[in-house]
Amino acid sequence: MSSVDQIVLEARDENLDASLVLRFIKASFVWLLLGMLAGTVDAIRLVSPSLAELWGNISWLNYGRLRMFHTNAVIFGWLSNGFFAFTYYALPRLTKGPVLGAKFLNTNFWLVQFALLVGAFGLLGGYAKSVEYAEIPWWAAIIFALAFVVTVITVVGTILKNMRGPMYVSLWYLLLGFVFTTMNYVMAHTVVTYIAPGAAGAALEGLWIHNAVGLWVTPIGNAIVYYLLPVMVQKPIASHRLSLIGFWTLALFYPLGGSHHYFFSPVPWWLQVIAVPLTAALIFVVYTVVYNFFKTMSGNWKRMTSDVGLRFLTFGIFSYIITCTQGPFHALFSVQKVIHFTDWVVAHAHLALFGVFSWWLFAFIYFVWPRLTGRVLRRDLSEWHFWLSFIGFYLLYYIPDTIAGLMQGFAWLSGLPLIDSLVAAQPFWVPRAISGVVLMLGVILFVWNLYTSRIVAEVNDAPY
Amino acid sequence: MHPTKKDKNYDKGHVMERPMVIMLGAALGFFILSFVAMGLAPWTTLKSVAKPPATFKNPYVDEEGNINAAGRGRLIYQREACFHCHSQFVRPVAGEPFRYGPASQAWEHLYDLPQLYGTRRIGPDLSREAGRRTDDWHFAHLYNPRHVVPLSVMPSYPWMFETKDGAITPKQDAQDLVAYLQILGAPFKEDVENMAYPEKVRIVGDIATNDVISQKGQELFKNHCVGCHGARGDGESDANKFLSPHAVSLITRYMAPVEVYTVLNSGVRGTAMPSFHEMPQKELWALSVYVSEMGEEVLKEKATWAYTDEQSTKGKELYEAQCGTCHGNDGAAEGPAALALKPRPRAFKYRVMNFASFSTVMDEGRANTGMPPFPHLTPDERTALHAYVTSLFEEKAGAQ
Repeated sequence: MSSVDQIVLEARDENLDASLVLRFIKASFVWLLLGMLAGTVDAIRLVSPSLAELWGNISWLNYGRLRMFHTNAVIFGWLSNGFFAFTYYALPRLTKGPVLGAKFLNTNFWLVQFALLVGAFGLLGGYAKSVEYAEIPWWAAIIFALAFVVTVITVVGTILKNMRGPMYVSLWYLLLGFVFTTMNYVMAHTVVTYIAPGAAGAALEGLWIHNAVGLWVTPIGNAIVYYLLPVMVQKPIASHRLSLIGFWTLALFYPLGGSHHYFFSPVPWWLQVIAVPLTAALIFVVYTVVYNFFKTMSGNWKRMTSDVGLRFLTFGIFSYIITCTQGPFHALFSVQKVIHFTDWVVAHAHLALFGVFSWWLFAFIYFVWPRLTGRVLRRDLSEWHFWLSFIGFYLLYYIPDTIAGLMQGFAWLSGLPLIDSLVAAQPFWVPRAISGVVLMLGVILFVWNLYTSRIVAEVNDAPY
Repeated sequence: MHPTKKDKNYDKGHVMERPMVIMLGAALGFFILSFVAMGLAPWTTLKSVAKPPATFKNPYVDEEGNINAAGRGRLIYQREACFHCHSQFVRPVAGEPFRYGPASQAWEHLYDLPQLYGTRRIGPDLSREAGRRTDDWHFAHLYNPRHVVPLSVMPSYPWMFETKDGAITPKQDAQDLVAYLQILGAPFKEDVENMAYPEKVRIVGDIATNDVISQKGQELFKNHCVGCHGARGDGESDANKFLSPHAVSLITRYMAPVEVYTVLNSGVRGTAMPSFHEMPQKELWALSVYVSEMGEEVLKEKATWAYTDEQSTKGKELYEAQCGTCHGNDGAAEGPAALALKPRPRAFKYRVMNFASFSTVMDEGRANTGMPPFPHLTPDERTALHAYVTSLFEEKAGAQ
């Protein structure tokens, strides 16, 4: 056990700006609920397309625009705001020093929300462009990039200024995620949008969309688990060496597999072929990390029954295993032939972004909220949140949507009229539409819980 | 106090976990590596590999380099996020060349910025759209997809249309969008047309071997045909307000099942009638029988049509003078001009129309097909022609 791993067990750092962390969490919930609402409306429209007649088919609530709003709201509004909250919570604690430029961070919070609002206006108002996850127009992207760069400077600066010894694992991932994503984001909004045409653009877009998940959402998600798990189970991370291997292999292999999003396209064939082993390599990366997590968990599984936050964290790790085992298999040509373009991929993406990273973020909020507000969350509402999320996601979303993908894929293979693939998938879209409502209900109960539960300690005396 | 860098015993940890190594190596280094390996390298390869034919020019600008209708349509396609449900590349696997047309080539997208390959397909791939549908069909479909594809889940785009003189007309946006759709895959237009509207139809099986269930036919009609032909098959439909030529009434003409089968397989090029050749044989026959039965009233009515020999003879003269070049003097649609026509002219052996329906065709012709209007015919001549055309119908062939 190295001393580095124990940092997380230490007492609260006075440099922590609790109100900033809470503000980011609150904002993230607003975007989460809006994003889920947009997703649910679109899911219902795929079952009952005439739904839009209720609001007279107005252009800015049209299916395609809502779909872009959905993905952007959950990735940049929900997950990223949540990640910022985690960053500003963990940074002073792990570096044992003040956060650089702390006085600008409140302004930057509003800059982030302003950028997201302008982006939402761009998407719904009809100014979108066609780079997936980077659909917001350039004038919204510039504001977001600016706010993001301020955060990057804070993260990098704080670490360089404060660290005089080995860094804890979470900090590696924060550095990696923030620095890589800055370049990736700029590339998506410049090279992919305005410079690289056709197949060249597709190759680079593969790099962007793959790493928006792989080197933004994944590293910050991992940082959260590396932070929370040792505290929650009161044990240091099992193997420092495995952490190091998992980190470096992720940083190396994840960016290189992006072209697997464009198999059988006019993207150069050699690029598609090398994407197969490079994607397969990820399976070892993930298993290294997950082994480390479970080794740390061992002997402490029972804590899951009483600690709902830990339960979200652990089930998130289960989903991480599933989604990251699926990935390398998706990158086999024979599998890709059937499932590409289908709902299978949509289910896979939701398993990663909702089943894994959103659940880890839930776990973080369950962990941090009582410590910052002095409230003790109600167990019954927490249980409702967990079980609505569990049933709503796995039973009503993930499994039916995966089957829908198979139905579509095989309907296309059979050479039947295209509309038959829709008819075959539609019964499985019904539970998916219901799941949107169930999952939103879970989140609403969660928020209700956060705001109404009993205050047992003055904020300043909160137990850390 | 933190230790400072000057301290000799200062533990900086493993070299691979130091901030500068992570930032410059893992983040910056691996980003540059992947950008070069996965972006720049294929880009250079493509520059030498993707050689377009000499005739291929930027389809989104006019000769002076200004954005044209297709270019504007492309922007609408982006802003409405069409690419989230419609891919734009045909994979050389999974039977896609049979469904959509030739597999995609890299040079086709040299002017596509940003590219629109897409990662999801709820509706069909659109990279081989040129020559597949008429503009009319697209307008009806954009206004409300259920008008032409009853089972579709695509959103409607009514804000791209306005009502002028009681008729729903496309605004500039809709026209631009359709102009864009019509240039997608333009270099392969002929291949796609020939595939989407096959001239030669191989008749596989017949009613008897396919165990036709009329309930199935009815269901198929409801799922695929009512949008244009109307719920009763009389051509009274929302889509027909957009279509020229109109989708025909199926109750004012009788077509033998084998004739319906042929039309279902080949579609009618130049009109909104698509080909349904992907349907399983059993369904094709069930639908053929159902549609055929819709016109049976015409057959019964035919017995009451009392045409004199004189009328028939006069009709024959007219027919041979005016119609024979295309429809053939024997009505088998093998006249000298027939082979050059797409769609091929109709044979009269397997179909018969009532007089009202016949008259409409004489007045209007069939737009976008080879069939012109014949408005100069006198009422007598018209009756005579109908008498003769009706006599070409072979009840026996039709009754099968």
